[in-house]
Amino acid sequence: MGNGVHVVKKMWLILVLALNIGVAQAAENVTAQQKFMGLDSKVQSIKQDALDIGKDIAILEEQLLYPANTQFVIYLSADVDDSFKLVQALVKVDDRQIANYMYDVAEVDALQNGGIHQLYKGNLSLGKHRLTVSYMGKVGKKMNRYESRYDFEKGKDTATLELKVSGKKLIEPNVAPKEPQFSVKDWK
Amino acid sequence: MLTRAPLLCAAMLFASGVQAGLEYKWKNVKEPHFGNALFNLYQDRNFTGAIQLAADMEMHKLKSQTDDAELAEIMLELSYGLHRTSASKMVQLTSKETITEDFKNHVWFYVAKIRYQRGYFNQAESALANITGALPWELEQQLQAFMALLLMDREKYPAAANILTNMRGKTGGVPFARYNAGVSLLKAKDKDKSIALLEQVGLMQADNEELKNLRDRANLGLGYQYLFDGKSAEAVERFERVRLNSLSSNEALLGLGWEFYNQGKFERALVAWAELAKGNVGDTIVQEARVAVPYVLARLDAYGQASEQYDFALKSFKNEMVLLDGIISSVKQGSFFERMVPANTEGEKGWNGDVSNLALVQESYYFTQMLARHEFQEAVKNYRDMRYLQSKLDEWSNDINVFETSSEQWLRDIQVRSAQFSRATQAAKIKELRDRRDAAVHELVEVEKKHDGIALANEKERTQLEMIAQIEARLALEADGARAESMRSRLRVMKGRVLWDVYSKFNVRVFEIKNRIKEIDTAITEALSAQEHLLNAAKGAEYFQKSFDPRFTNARMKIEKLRPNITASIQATEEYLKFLVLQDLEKRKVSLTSFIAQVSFSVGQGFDPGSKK
Repeated sequence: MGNGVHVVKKMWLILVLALNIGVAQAAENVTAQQKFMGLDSKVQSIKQDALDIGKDIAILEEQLLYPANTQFVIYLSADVDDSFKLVQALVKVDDRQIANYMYDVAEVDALQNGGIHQLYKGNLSLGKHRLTVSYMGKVGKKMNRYESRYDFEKGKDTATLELKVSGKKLIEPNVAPKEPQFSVKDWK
Repeated sequence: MLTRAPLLCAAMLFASGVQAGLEYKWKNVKEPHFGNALFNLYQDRNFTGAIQLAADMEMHKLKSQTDDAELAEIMLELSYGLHRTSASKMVQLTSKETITEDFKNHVWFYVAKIRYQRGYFNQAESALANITGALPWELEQQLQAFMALLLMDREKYPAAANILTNMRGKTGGVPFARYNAGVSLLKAKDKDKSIALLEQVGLMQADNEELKNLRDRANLGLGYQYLFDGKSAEAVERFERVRLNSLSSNEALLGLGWEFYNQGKFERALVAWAELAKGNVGDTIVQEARVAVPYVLARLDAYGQASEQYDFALKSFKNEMVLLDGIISSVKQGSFFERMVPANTEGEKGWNGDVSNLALVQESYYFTQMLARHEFQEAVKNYRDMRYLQSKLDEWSNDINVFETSSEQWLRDIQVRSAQFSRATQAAKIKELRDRRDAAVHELVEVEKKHDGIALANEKERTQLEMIAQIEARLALEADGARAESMRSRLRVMKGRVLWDVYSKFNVRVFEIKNRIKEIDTAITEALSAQEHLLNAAKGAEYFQKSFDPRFTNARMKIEKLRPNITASIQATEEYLKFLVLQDLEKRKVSLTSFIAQVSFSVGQGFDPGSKK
């Protein structure tokens, strides 16, 4: 028995020695950590520079491709709970399809938490237009389609429309399921 | 075995901690640009989100909630890993009334976590010092656990244990804290209290995998402690509490084998070790089992089998040594990390991106284990993020080329249209319109002056009046009589009706003519404006297009300036990773060499003289 314990200790000594190379290596690790910090500091600067370049290019793109006098942006927000799951939004302007978006689980969660999705950014001529949006979504387990229309006038400034989906507590015990509501906010 | 426990525990605590940082949610989101930033943040699209929000803010797109947007920008940058920038922004914003204590605490907690994982322990402590006021229970627990971890890293185990043992409750980070407290007390040589705490964790109810792993870990630690203390029954019971096929099962099987061996139950020791010996020979626990199997076979006088097993162990160790040498050589040659860490979309997430999904290469087995270490994990994240940025720079360069080409094409289109425009044609069109207008005005003046309703009569009325005039002329030639008088009388009535219509509509017709004149005026103005517009458009377009030229050049310069920095950073990080990997592989070689020496010694000694009965 005593011999067994001796053997166990011997084996573990080998293992522990193998896993902890020693004091010299500890000093090497401290140097390595300092090296990492130096590298990390450079990485932080590079990331910051990259964000700045990205911002410049985003502004350049917007001003070049979507000038304010023709810019047209559509956002989608959803004030909903688990009783309504948005699946798809299909958008037409004057009968021309400009966006068709399928929402995944992460996006639905982000919308539920107050995130607003930029569904479309493009250009549109001045004057009167008709927006038609087809939504597909689940009330409980049932998939439904909804459609809404909105007439608006594109002026000289950027036209920003927000498609608002509302639907909370659509399913309650002993009551027929309610329908979600759809509206459009014109951010003039 | 317990010497390695704090590392594991730290990893577990931080897995919970990251969640707390991300849980901050804004309420009453109205402004769409701000809402879009949150849409990106909540999905870890941190790089894109930070860029888009910064651009929107610079273009003054946000009409409201600008303070909230500034905070969202901090969260995006922080999630991306820019703890330095975020901390500095927080210091600047901290006096603003718009920042809630809740938000402030979340950010500082998050900053501390990133700094801790990156090895900036002092700065992590400084970040934690900014947390004020009453915290939600869960965050308070995590804060306490975090502070204890920092103390443990400085080997101030009694102080760490003091914090951790004062944490109350059974949920959240408390079980992890209790485990850590047990480890700290053991380090502080307070074995009895340590065992008491680990026993609590070892018997706790666990309803998720993370807690079950923690419970296994506690039982494993206890098992080895009892093994060293010679408390056989306790050791076996604790080892047997560890779940099969769990993260700790190999170590538990090894310990169980040794405990049975100590008790002289060689057959049972053999069962445990033989099972373990089937595992991956890259695992040091498996290596030990491969040495232990022939060792115990010799104790069972099964010398033939023991000899075979020693040979098998020696052969497998030597093969493993060849494999390790091959990997070491491959790591030294480079290109290895490029294969292992693809520049995938996780780079968009930055610090918050997952590094566990490395490409499956022959060496993955070793690196999966190395990824449990913060320093390796954080270096891999940096390496991946730099490679992502490298591909992003290529993408942006291409974008600028596309912008420039489309801008030039647009200008050319306008110049072509402008060239096709004929000044002479346009001038003739305007003259014709002006002539029509002058004629209409002249006619109107005359008609109004003479109140000449007939001049404004329509085609039908004119025809009717002409017919009446012709009949009147014929009747004038006829002799007077009753019939002629009757016809003249009827004709007068008809003429009166037509003239009534003509004069009763006079004002309406004058109004219509005025409107037509107005329309001609509008047409003239539009023609003049179009002429002006087209001529100006060509000049304006050129000016507009030229104004982008320096911006294209500037963006290109910035990209080209950053490119070598990224390349250098990738190379330096690769060197650092090489250092860590080689250090780890060399350790494995040392361990393996020990086992090979032990096997060779045992074989040379006729197995183990001390073990013979």
